[in-house]
Amino acid sequence: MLKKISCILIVSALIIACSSNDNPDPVDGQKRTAMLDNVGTNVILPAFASFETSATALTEATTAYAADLKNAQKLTAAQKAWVSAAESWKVASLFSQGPVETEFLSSAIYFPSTNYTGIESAITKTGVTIDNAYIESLGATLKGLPAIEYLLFSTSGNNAVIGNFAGINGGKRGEYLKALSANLQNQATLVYSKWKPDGGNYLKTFKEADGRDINSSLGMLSNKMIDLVYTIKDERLGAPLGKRNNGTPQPGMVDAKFSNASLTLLKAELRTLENTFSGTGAGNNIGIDDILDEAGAKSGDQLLSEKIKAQFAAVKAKIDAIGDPLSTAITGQTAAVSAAYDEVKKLQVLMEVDMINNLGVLLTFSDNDGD
Amino acid sequence: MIRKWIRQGQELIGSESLAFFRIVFGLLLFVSEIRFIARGWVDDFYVKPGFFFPFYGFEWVRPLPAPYMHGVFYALAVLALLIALGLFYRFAIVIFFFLFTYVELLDKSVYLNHYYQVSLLALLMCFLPMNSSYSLDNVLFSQTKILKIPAWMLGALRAQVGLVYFFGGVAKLRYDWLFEAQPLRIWLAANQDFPVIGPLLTQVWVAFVLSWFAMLFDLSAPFLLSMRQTRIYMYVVIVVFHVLTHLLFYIGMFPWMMICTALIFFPSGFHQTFLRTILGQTKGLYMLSEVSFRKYRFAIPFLAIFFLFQFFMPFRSYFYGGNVLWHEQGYRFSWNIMLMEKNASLEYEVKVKSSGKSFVVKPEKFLTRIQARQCSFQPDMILQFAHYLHNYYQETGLGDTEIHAVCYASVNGHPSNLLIDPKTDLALVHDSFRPKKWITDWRN
Repeated sequence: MLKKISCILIVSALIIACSSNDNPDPVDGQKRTAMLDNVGTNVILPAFASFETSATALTEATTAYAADLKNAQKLTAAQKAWVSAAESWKVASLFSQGPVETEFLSSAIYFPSTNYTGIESAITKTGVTIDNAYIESLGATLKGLPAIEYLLFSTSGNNAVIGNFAGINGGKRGEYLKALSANLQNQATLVYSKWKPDGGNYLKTFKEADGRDINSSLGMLSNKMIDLVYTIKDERLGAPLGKRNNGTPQPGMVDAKFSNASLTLLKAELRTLENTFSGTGAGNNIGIDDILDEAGAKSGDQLLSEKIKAQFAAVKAKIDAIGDPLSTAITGQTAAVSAAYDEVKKLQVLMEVDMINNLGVLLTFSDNDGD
Repeated sequence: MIRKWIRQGQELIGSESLAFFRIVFGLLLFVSEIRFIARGWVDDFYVKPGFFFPFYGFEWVRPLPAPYMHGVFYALAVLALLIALGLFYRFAIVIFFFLFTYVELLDKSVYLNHYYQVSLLALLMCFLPMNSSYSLDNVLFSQTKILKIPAWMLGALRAQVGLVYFFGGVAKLRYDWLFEAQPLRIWLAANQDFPVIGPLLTQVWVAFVLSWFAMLFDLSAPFLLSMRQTRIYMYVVIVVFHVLTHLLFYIGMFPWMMICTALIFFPSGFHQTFLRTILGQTKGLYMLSEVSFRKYRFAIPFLAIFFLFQFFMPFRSYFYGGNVLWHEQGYRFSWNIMLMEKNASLEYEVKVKSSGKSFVVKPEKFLTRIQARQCSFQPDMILQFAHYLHNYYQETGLGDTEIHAVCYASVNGHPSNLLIDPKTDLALVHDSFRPKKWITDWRN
């Protein structure tokens, strides 16, 4: 009996000795908490704030243009406002975990497919008042940033756009544009409020889910990052290149084809990935890179975090080598676009394989993972 | 020495040890099956997938339609209960063994070492009179009562439980495990939010201490459990060890199974006292029958083959050379427990022969999430899915295709590399036990 007791004592003493062991820097060993804190406060929240600001600016610009439909300058201003709103949404769209996903908030902002004939009939529909309530009643393929883009841009130039607004239903078209923008602004305010500490405060939930399972913030965020690299590779570059369709280039499949802003938006998506990885913002810059460094993650002789950052630079260089617009480059500069695709593929492997391997986060749903 | 063993094996001991193990096994598996059903895994793993990854040589084992598949799991739960109660024991254990093994053979993506152990234990128990005491069979069929059994029966169960530890320890004698403390370094650091000891888990030395400790623990556990002087201490360590693994890792029922089944190492007097305390003295007098050796003359050669087979299985990967964590030839059924953090990205390049044009396919399009993850880094599954794609495009009218895998994998924090030779047309490759030349060499 005495032996038993002494044995139990020794074991518990060991556990206590281990756990009370010196821990000089409280941040050290808790990089994950620090990362969630920094990325949540200084990367994610500002992204939603900036989307709200740029959506507000877009409403102002389209309102100004709707009041003066023949004014080319005001049209250009509205177009610029659209590109900047779309860019800031691309930055924020990485953070779809939480309210954006559970409350289906992104579909009214940037739905992947747009119904152009549907938009035309929504504009010309008789017996309706074109206002926010009307927009709310419409499906996702008829509104949001892609619908606004369709109204504001034409591949045939700005005269064609003004021509459309000067037609029989030009006035209604202007009303529709205004109402779309107002609705977008509402959506932006809503999304931001869900994350804000004085609103839905998902930020708090984000910081507190500091585990490593599939429902932890790091688990979800790294999943989203991998999804976005794949989107860049497969949707933005691969699909237009014909990687999905027997190798036949399909320039019509580029993102934002009317505004020719595909490359600008693609760069915004890359930027948000990199900023999240590095934790770049107004805070202490603790990102996923620091978690990797803490874990001693290496790729050969190099730090894995450095290798991933270098790969971001390599991707950017290849993207910069593509001439605007992407839809033309798909056929005119196929080799350059393919080269960019290959670099993104390397980035995807580094993030999906090397990064995840060293983070040890679980990306499947059941505990059937181990034995 | 051998003579001593034979003599010891023939010594008679109380049959309560078998009853004890039967009850523990039955209850564990009952809980395990109920848990599986309650979590909706029957649908997730055996109904939803449109494609399954059968084991080599067992391609004929196919899942049943949905309602029957659910029926199988309810049947397993009922059978497990019958085993625990010792009611219609022989019938229950034989059917349980076949049904359980059938389910495990359906899909490689759900392979777990402890399911393999369940199948092996169930097979072993088919040959032993586990219902000889503390069973309802004793009430219904008095001839099932046996007071004393030969010690080799208990020895066989102990060997089966003990070899999981021992071979688990042998599998840890690897460079990664001992000299890089991997994958524990990654997994422990991933648990940095753990209460109290969290910050400690990111320390490299902790990973090293625990890696070496786990290796020595596994190698010595069956021996220290067998010796009277060390048994109780070792059991305390076992409980602490498995509870810790339960808290740190997502490994389901495995820790509980090991904690419970390791009790078989206690002397049969312990099992006797335990059952008497919980279930009371069984009523009536036992028939003073002893198990006859003639009745079990087939059991002994079976045991010899059974354990020889198991002794060979864990070592078969050495015939393939290279790094088994990379090529995974001989990885399963070898007690490679919690040995690697492996991740991969898998895409297939499909080249249409008639047009010469190619396109890229992600397996996620066709597989469930867990299947896609498992398939991404296991070469034999990558090959199986390549064949599936080849047939799929043949049937959907695209005609003959070449299927190339673009697979980058990373093991235990080593940099990612191509796992499969992307030049190989996997449609032309057929699985076998021969070395798979289309897997790239380990380069770290």
